Amino acid sequence: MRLVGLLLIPLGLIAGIAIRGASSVLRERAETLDAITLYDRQAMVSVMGELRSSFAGYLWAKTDEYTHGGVLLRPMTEREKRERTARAASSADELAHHEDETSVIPERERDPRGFWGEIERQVKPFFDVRHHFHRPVREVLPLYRFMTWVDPTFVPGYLVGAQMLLFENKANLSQAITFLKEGARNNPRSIALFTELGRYALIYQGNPVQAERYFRRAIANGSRWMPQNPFERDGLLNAYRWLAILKHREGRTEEARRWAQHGLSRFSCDPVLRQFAR
Amino acid sequence: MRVSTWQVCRSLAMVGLLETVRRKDLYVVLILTMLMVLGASAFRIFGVSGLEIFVKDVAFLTIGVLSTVLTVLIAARQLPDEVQRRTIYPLLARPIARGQLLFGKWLTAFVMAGVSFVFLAGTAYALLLLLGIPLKPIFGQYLLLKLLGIGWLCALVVALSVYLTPAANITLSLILAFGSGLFGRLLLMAHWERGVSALGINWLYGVLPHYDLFDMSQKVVYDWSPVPWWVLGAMGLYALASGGLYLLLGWLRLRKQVLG
Repeated sequence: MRLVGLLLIPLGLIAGIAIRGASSVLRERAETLDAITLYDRQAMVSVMGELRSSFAGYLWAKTDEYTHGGVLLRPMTEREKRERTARAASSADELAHHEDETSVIPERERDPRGFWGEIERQVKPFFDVRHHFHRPVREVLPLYRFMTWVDPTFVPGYLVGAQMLLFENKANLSQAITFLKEGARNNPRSIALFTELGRYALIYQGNPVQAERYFRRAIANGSRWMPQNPFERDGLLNAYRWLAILKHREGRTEEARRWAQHGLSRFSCDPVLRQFAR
Repeated sequence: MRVSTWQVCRSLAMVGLLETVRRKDLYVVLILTMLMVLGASAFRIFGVSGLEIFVKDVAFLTIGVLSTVLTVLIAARQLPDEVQRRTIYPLLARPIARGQLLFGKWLTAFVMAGVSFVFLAGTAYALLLLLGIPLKPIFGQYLLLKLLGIGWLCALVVALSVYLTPAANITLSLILAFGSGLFGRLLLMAHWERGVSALGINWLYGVLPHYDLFDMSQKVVYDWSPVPWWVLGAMGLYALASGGLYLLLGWLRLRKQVLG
C-alpha cells in the first residue's frame, strides 16, 4: 500500500504537468469556438468533443496516405535536412507541396537491412518519392466532407477541402465557396476561414467589396489574440497582406500603408507588409 | 508405445474445435461479423460513391485488429486452460510426449485462429462485393501471407504461455504483435541518427518479431499489383524458422516443467 501511495505522487505530478501542457492547446483551439463555455464547463461535451476532433484528426492524416496510394511520408530529421542523405519527396502534379519530407520506408541505397528492407518494400506500399504523382483528388474529397461532419470545428478540413474541390475541377467553385461558408457558419470566430473566403471573392469571383468585408471580419476575429495554430496565424497575416494589396491596387496607397502598418504591429518581420508600409 | 504426432495433433485439433463450439467462442466471431455487416449496411444507406478506399481501409483494419486479438486470445489459453482444469494429467498419462502436446496445441490454435480469420476475411470480401467494391488478385496473396503470420503468432504465443501467466502472455503478445512495425522504425532511426552499425541492426532485426511483415492489407486497399512469389516464399521460410524456434524454446521449458 505504501508503495502504491509513493507511486501516486510522481504519477500525480506527471498528470499535472500533462494537463498544464494540454490545457493551453485546448484553450487555443477553443478560442475560435463559440462553444467555448460548453467545452470548458461540461465534462461530457469536452470528452465527446475531443473524441470527435481525434477522429477528424485521424481522417486528416488519412488524406495524405490516400493521395499517396498508402505510401507513408514523414518529416526529415534535422540531420537528414542538413546532410541531405534522405531522398526529398517532391510532387510531379502540383497537388501537394512537400517540404523536407521523405518516405517512412527507406529506399534500397539507404537501407542497412538488406534482405529485410527488400521484403518490407515489397509487402508495404512503396515508391520513389522524388517527383511522384498523386492519386485522383476525387478519392480524397469525401474524407474532407466526412471529417467536417464528424467535427464541424475542424477548420483545416474546410480550408483544404475547398482547395481540393477546386483543384479537381474549376467548375466546382460554387461548391468550394459553399463549403467554406459552411465552415464559417460553424466557426464564426475563425480567422483563416474568413481570409480564405475573402481570397476566393477577390481572385475567383472578382468581387473586391465582398473580399474586403471578409478580410476585415478575419482581422476583427483576430484582434484580441495572437493565434499559435499555423492555419489561423497564417490566416491573420494573409488578411493584412490581402487588404494592403487590395488597397494598393485600388490606388489608395495611404490606406494600403495603414493596413500594412497595422499588420506589422502584429507580424513585425513580414517582408510583404514592410514593402507596403514604406 | 508412442502415438504418432499426426494422431495427437488431429485429436487435439478436434477437441479444440469442439471446445471452441462448447465455449461459444464462435459467437464472438459471429457477433463481430454481424457488426461488420451492420457497418456495411450503414454505408449502403449513405452511399459509398468516392468512399471506396475508405470503406476498404476500415474493413481491412477491422480484420487485421480482430484477427490478431482473436489469435492471441485463442493461442494464449491452450495450455493454461488444460493445466487449470487439470485435464492435462489424463492427457499426459497417455503415451504422448510433451513436444507432441505442444505441437498439437499450436496446430489447434492455428486451425481455430485461421478459420476465424478466413471467415472474417470472406465476410468482408462478400460485403465489399455487395457494395460494388471489387478486390484485385493481390487479395489472394494477402490471405496466404496473413495465414502464415497467424501460424507464426500462434507459435510465439503458445511458447510464451509456457513461460508466463496468461494475463502477462496476452499483454506481451499483443505488444509484440501490434508494436512490431515500430521496433524496425526505431532501429533504422538508431542507425541513421546514432550511427548504430548495419551489422548490429541486421542482427537485432533478425531477433525481433516481425508480425507487421505478414500484413499486405494496405496494398490490397490501394489496388497494388501482386508481389513476386519469392516474397511469400521468403516469408514462409521466416515463419517456419522463427515459429519453429519459438516452439523449440517452449518445449525446452515444458519438458522439464512440473505441472500443476
